Amino acid sequence: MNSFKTALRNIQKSSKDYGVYFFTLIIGVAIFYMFNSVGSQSFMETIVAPQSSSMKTLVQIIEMISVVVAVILGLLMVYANNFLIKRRKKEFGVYMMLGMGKKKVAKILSIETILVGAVSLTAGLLVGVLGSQFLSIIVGKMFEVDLSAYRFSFSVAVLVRTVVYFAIIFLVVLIFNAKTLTKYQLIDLLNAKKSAEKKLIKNTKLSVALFIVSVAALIFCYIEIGFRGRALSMREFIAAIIAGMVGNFLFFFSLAGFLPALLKRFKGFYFNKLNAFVAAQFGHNINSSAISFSMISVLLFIAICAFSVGFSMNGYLNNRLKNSTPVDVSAENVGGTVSDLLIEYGYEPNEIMQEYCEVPMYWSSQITIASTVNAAMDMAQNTFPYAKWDSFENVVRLSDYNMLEEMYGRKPIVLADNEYAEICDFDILGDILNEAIKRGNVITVNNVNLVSGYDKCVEEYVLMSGMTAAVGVMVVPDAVIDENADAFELAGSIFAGDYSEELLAVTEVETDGTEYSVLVGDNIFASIFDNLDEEVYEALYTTKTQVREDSVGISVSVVFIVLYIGIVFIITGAAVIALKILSDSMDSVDKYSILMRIGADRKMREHALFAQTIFNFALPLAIGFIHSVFTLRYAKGVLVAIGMTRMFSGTAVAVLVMILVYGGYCLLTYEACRRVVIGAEK
Amino acid sequence: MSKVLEVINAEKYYGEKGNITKALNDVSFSVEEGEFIGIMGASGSGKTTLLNCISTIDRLSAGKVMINGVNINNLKGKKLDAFRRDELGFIFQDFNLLDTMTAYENISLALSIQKKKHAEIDTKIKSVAETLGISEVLNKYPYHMSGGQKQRVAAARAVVTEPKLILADEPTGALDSKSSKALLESLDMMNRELNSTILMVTHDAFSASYASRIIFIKDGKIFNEMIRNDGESRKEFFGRIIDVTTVLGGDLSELI
Repeated sequence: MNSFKTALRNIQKSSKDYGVYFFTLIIGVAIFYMFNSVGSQSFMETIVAPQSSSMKTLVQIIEMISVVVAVILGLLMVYANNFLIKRRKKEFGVYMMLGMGKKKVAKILSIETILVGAVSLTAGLLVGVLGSQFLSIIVGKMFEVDLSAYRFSFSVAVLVRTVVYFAIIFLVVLIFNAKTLTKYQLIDLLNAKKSAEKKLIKNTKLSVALFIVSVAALIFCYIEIGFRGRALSMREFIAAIIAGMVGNFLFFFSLAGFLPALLKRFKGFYFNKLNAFVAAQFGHNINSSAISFSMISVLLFIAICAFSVGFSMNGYLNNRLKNSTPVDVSAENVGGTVSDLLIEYGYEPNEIMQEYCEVPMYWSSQITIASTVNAAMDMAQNTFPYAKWDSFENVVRLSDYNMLEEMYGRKPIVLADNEYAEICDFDILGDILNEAIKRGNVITVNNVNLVSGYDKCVEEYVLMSGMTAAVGVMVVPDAVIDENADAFELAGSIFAGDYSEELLAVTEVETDGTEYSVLVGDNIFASIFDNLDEEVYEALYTTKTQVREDSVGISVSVVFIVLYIGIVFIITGAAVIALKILSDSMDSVDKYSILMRIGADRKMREHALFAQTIFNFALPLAIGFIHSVFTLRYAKGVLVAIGMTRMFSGTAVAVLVMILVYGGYCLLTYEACRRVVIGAEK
Repeated sequence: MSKVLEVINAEKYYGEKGNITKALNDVSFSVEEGEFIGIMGASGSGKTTLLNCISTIDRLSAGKVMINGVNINNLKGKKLDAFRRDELGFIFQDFNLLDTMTAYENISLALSIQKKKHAEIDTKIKSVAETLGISEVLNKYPYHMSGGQKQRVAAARAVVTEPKLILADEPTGALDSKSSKALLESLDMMNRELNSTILMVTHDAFSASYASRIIFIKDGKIFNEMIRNDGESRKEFFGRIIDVTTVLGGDLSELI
């Protein structure tokens, strides 16, 4: 009980030193809980169906990432504990000199770790539960989801998982603490305050040369990736990245010698108040931790990119949903028209649909898939060696197809009498079609020759689809079909429309009591299409609900994963900097007391300390930010190419989150430092 | 000559009611401008407490410390900081140079804190470095200097702001005898040529012999005072100091 009391008193006494440690643990636990509970949050159901595959994949990925996150947080805790022990070496030394055994000291330290762990775990879970509410609001806003039905949800399973993971982390910390403690000799503990003066590399000329090399390497990397980007070959790309990494490290490595030398040239600035001191200290800091600085800047760089892309996904997604789901349902059938099918099952199209259009599809023995790519057959056979080239192409009348275009809210197709248009949104096939068109592909039906009316195939979907990979149709002028009726036969139809109002949402209750709403129309189409004989019919249907689930599911997953990783990287980077500064600050207590004695007033000393803290935090962030500007330029190019427009609409949110977390660390660190450095003075 | 420092009935207590230790017990003395005063005493005699109270790092329990006519007990916050900055210079036993900065920068800091222009800073540093013979080490870092050089840089930092009073706390404590001699000669020169007023705390008779007057402290009280006579050589003065401490019997061992 005695050790317990000692431990408790120690925590109270050094509660302020624990600031950064507490903050990291609480945020770590909270983030861990928030992201792991994503799968069980009821608001998610309004975005992604709880049983859908994308939801399961998301939960699985988050669970996997959580293991990595737990390892990262564990390492961070070990690092933080080393710092705390270093800070208290003398205290432990005194305990031991008074006759307390190492075991007993380790026991006190263990009790402290467990107590601090328990408190921060509880606090972190509370923050996590509240945070998931906040997260739900953000996600709701991002995906324009009505959250009025959202209820507070709490996952016991995730709670247990969080507690287990962190219990393991604390156990590891305990073992490491005991090891650290037994490693020390009593004399080391008692003499903790005297630290040897480190030798600095101060060859200014070498620093300047290295600095120029690093900047050149970075500029090379920026130009290659940011401006040439997608034109790069794989080897050039890797070369650029290696140049960037080397440049990044050399930058921090050389800055220590370069920066003070540069600042000294501005005598008015350098010899003003404590500026020379701050510059020297900062140079010393970078010098002694160039590697950690460069690694942290990379972490922050990844986090910034992840955030910008993650928070921008919503813009892309909402935009895409609007464009890709203009109607409630779209369907296609071969071997009978869609309306025939509906009638066969007892549904009158006019009754179940408020508005619809149907495009008859024709087959002709003279128009096969092969004939659409005839001019580029070599390329086609290379790409699809096993394709059935003699199967018939789906041909539709121009006027019919333009009705569908109107339904989908798109521009009509315009064709002259001797022209055709190929509709295709499947990139790989599209490339072949484009090549064929470029080479002057000709379609012949009963002596009528048709050439493409467009210089490439028309990239649009025929059926709504979450993933754009449906094979297209050929549009020909009405006369071609009407005047050559002998060459064509009706094969099926494309069908698209909105459900009539009585077929809209109903609420169903699952066996476990959770409510969710479905569209009656979706059920009708599912009941018909999912049970068709595949030998007879070639039927496809997509509903707005499905498309939403598919594409939203994927995007939401990407957003969550990216945010999870981003936040953890920021915390890691910020915490390492914070601990580094704090441990340095213990060594600089003497320096600040010299400053006091030679007459620097309190305000001046606080300013110097603040400047030092800010620089340490800002430098890796600034470098990471510059890296990300050029990388995002590249990423933007790639994402726009795959159809993401309106990128980086979420950058403001990203910046806000960064400032909150990173700035929080900065202020906490400054406060702790001030207590250590200036508070220690009489 | 005006009085730079006046200590009047200074008392300093430690501990709480019923268990009080008097670290300083009714100490009074004064220092004229241009004097080089030595304060001698064994450890625990109260000499460091006295120095701390004069240097505004600690406060007296009772009595007054007047520096240049200002009662420093009444100074607080910014005024206290400004006073320390403008009126006092410090030399410490363990040099207290900032190891991340060159000698030049270390000295410059004392001036830049006073918000002096960099051109003025440069002139002053060069002239003080010339006087103290440290011109060639100005661009070196402390770990490249000998102990004696470090302490002379520290002395230059203390004197460069032309303070009313320079406080030296066992300045030779960490130096070998040769470096000690060089430093003490530097202090002597600062005293004679720059007319600096120096108050040096020491327990070493040799160091004390450089002073023009020595105050002995024991158990928080002044128990003797010695003045170096006109025309008296340093060697003779040193002999007298040893004599006094010998005459005082067992006190010598306590002094050392």
